[in-house]
Amino acid sequence: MNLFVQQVVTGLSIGGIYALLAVGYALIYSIFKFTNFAFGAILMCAAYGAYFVTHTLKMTSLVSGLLGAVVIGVIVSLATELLAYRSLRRLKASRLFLMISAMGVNIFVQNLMTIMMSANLRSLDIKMPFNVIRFGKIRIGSLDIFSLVISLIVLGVLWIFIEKTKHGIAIRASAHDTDTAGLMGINVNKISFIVFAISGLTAAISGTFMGMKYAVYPTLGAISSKAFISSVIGGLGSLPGAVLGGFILGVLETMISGYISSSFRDLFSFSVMIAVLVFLPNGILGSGINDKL
Amino acid sequence: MRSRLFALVTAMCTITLVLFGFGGAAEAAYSPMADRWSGDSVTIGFFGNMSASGAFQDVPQRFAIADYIEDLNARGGLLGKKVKFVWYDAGRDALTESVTAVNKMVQQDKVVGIVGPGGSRYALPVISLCNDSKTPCITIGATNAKVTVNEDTGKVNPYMFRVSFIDPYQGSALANYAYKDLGFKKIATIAAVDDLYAQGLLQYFVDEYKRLGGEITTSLSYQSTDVEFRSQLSAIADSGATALFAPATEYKYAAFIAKQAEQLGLEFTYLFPEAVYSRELLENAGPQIEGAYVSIPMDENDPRFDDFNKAFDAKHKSSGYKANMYAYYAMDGVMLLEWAIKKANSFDGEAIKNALETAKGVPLFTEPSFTIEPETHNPHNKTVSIMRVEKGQYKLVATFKPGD
Amino acid sequence: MYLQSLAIFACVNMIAVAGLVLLTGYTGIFSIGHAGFMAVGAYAAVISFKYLAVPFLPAIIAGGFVAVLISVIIGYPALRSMMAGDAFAIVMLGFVSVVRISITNIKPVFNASFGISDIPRLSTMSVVLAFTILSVWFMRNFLKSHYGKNCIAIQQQETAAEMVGINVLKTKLIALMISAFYAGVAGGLFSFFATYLAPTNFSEAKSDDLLAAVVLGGINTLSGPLLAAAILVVLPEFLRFLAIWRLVFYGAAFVVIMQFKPEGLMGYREISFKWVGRLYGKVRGKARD
Repeated sequence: MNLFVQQVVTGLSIGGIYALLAVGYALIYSIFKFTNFAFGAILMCAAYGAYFVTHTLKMTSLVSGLLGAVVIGVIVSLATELLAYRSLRRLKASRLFLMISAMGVNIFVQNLMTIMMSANLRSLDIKMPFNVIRFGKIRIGSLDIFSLVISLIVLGVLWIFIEKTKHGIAIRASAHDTDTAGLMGINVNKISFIVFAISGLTAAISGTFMGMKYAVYPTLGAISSKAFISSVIGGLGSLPGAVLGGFILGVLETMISGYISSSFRDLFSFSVMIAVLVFLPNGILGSGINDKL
Repeated sequence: MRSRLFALVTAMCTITLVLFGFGGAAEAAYSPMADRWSGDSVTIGFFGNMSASGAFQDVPQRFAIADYIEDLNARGGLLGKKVKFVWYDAGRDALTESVTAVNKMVQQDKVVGIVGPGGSRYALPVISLCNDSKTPCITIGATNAKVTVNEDTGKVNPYMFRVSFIDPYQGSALANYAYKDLGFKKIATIAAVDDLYAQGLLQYFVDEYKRLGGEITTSLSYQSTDVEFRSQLSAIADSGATALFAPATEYKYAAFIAKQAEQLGLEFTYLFPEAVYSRELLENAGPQIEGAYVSIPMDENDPRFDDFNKAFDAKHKSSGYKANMYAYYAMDGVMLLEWAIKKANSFDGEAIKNALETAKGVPLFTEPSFTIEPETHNPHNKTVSIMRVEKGQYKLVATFKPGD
Repeated sequence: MYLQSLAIFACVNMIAVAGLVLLTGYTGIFSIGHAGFMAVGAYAAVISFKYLAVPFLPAIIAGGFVAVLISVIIGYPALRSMMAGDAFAIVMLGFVSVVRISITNIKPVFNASFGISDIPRLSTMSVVLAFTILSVWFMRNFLKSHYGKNCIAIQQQETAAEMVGINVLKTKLIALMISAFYAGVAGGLFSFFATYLAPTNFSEAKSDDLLAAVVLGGINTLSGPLLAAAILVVLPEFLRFLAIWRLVFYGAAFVVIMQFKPEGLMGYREISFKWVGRLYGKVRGKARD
């Protein structure tokens, strides 16, 4: 029983990271209807931003680390939007082309970073009291609780922003129908800037926490495929769905490798995912999108 | 109209491909041997993973070989000829790019020998290419037994050699050390299920450990793309093990496992193979792996490596890489090739191969007396050093030759 | 040997891409897991050759049919439930992982992560070329047949296609089966040239390359993706002179091509030589100025 609760707790803390990533992913999908394969690269660059601030500038507080990551994350995210996507969107190119462009950005950035920063792991030396919190036999690192709390706060703020503010309404309108939103006087280019900035922000926050939990290295972004899976399970384009999908995937993976088989883990988690999709083709919280190539 | 154009294009593509493909075949599969050293210089090749995850292993190797060859040329070259160095990255697609890299080296660069690659994944696809073209290939970190010996026929691959451990050798040495010297009567294991190196070591470790009478409490796995091991670690702690054997091909797995065990408040005595040994592991997870044991072929703290380390670190500072064990392996490889060419007094592939087979007591960079077993092309009775992490440093605790 | 090996890899890539063109370029179902079918075909061919003593050519064909079988098992439920495009893509992504994980866990015969080595090099230039020509020719005819037209109809407007009496599920499934067959054959040929077969050979990166070839080549065209498939094999080799910067430029090339040819190299048309005439006209026009 102790082991079971322990695994659930671990799963939730992993799920928190997946959820935050999935939101950044889903946000772009909901408006532009394409999968941003460059998301992992943005996350990785942001983590290097945190590394730069804490290691080179020797500002080792969490706030300065996060700030460094956010600056780099947002810059890289906006740069991709401007250089790789904007002109394609203007031409109303099919989203497959956007995806390939994103794939190119990913290869480009990852290899560039391998050359610039070497393939070695860098640890993020953020000064933070670390201890293991115990509830009976259940143990959890304070870092996990902390990252979960911050993730939830960010998700909450994001939700308020999207639901309550003027820009949020514009984003939702664009997500619903980009062309009509444009006709109604919404500056779609400005909206896309805001959306990519938010997406870069979520990538930066999760990148910093991943850098603290694991390390910073050029292939760190590979984990973003989990975000893709989470948002499909939850319902592509749906933000609450992405959060739900992230937590489901985190717990599911932990449970399977703890109880069924660690070597067959992905086999089981993908089978569950396929089963979900066969019965709920639009994911758990997704609405029907009439999607065309 | 369109269909005629289509036919035209198809025809053109076909003709190009035919010229491309058969043209290559028609000029005889390989150019004559003597072409390789007819000029006033000869070429030595290297290939490996220099762009994907784990590039920290092969990039320093490339630096080490290039530096050594520079030095060699300053000393007058090989048999009176200048030595050129070519290298190719195979990181994007191990299989395809290894095959094309070796073909390119053999056919276009006319290499007299290949030093490398650093991993079995890159070496296994090129065995027949090296054998057919009679190009000696000294792999410097490919530990899989199949690299030098054909599994089906049991025959040695004549042109494949290695300077590193093989998996059965290191796996059983570690099992013996853990059971007999450290007195671990039970141990848990965790290894990437899709990794050649980790699975190879795991298999031989477990076989030997069980044969000695030890108990494997649980054997868990992960995918090599994983970064999260807490679920497995909780289950391992639950199985009652206090020692954990974690073979992995990169130090990042060791760092993650140790850090996450700490986050769960778990303490294990870790047992790692040589591939995770690196100074960077200490920088990333030094306190967490305190007390861990690592087996490697040499003691890096040995003063005889100091000069090399200093020179290497100073020269390649901007690259972000420091001298590591992989660079030492590369030094072994290139020195062995140099020795063989000098012994054979020829650049002929067959002569070099024959010289390599007689290698006995050759002084190499890490091994003062290096011997190749002619029937397997593996190093004979290579030294195993066990390092223990103490106060954030590797300390030599044992050195032995399992064959003694 | 060097140019020959490049030509063979290019041909193998072209076969797999020819299949994917039908699925993605024409039917509009996009798959980021096509390397899974290559893996299935490769393992089926090599195992039937090595352990069941099936001769080389039948073994390759058998590999293709095993891939078809698997494609039906995975594709029928997924396509029947009318999954949205990205959901199907993720099912395919899952499929590659499932194939890879299954193989890495089967020790007997499949040899787990150690892979099967010492496969004889039977995929010679002539064999591979014959396969390429045959498969491209067949695909071209298929695309011109009314089946091919059905596929385009589904890509354009699925509901409308259904209205005019096209059996959408059947057409999609046929497209998936044929593309799986092509991928399976390509995987088999690949392994009999590379002589070593391991589950890691057919990773997501391989699937990405195939999809990239189709998209860079252009939608609704066969010659464009075939050209792109060959280019994507040759390009990384061509960029060798850039040394460590090679893959940086490879990635940048994707973005740049998309910026300047946003419809792909050959969107909606086959390779034509009209541009030669246009260019000639322009040059003459300039010369006259």
